[in-house]
Amino acid sequence: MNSQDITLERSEIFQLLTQTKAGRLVTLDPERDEPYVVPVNFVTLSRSIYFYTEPGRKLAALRAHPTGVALEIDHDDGIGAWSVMATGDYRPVTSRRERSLATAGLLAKYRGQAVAPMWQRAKGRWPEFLRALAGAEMGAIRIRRVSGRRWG
Amino acid sequence: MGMIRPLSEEESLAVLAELGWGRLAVVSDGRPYAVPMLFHLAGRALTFYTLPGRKLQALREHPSGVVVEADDIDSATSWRSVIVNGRFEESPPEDAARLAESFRERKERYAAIALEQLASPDAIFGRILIEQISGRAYVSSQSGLRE
Repeated sequence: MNSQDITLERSEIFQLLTQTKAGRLVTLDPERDEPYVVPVNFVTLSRSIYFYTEPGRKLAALRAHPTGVALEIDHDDGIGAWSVMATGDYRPVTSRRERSLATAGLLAKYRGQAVAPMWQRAKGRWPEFLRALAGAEMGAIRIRRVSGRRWG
Repeated sequence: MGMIRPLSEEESLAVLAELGWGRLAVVSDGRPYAVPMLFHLAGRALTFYTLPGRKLQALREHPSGVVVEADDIDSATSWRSVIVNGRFEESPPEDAARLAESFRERKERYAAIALEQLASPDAIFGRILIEQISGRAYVSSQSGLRE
């Protein structure tokens, strides 16, 4: 059996970045000289990856090491497997318009589940949920470099 | 409505044993770098193979700060995720046979490719010795933690 190892086209990579639900944010640990990896819900809009981060280790890592942050996505469907990595710099989203657009994108992609932990803690109470949402940081990674491979 | 709960060490190890597929993250040229990997849980270590390249170079240059992430995410309300912090060491060729055995039991197409690759004379075998492990899962109030 001959296996193939194929480099993905840029257009295919962006399609996967748009369609794939779960990703892993890969940055450097704020306290130790090692990577920090955490699954994230995200949405890709006009070459930026958007996600919410609440105060914690993820946000501390992003603030300590905002350059060269990566998002990794992959899937093995039994026929073949692929993996994509998108790299860029992290910045908090401060524009209200950009934040609204990205929030709408997240809610459309996940039907509200993108912010499930916040919704859960608010116990379904809207005022508390909206407060939690407003208190979380919306972050963006402006994609500078992408790479992807497929095996199958 | 469910909730997110931490997994015990035993539960986290069980998730790793079941999935056998995750992402290896290393520091390469001062930047984080992550690639998918197939592994086999052997005691408190993840055994794997790799071919010469950026991943192996980063592991050799930076063996002490390696992270492996494995998850099983169906949706925002059905997932498990495990993070391992560990140390890389190259392992003796004996690991190769056990690793090949574990790949043969897997149904994914990728495992078949991995079997070919690990038979290559260039294949290097390694272990990530688990120093810290943590896991989280979303538990649905209807179904409980999926086994």
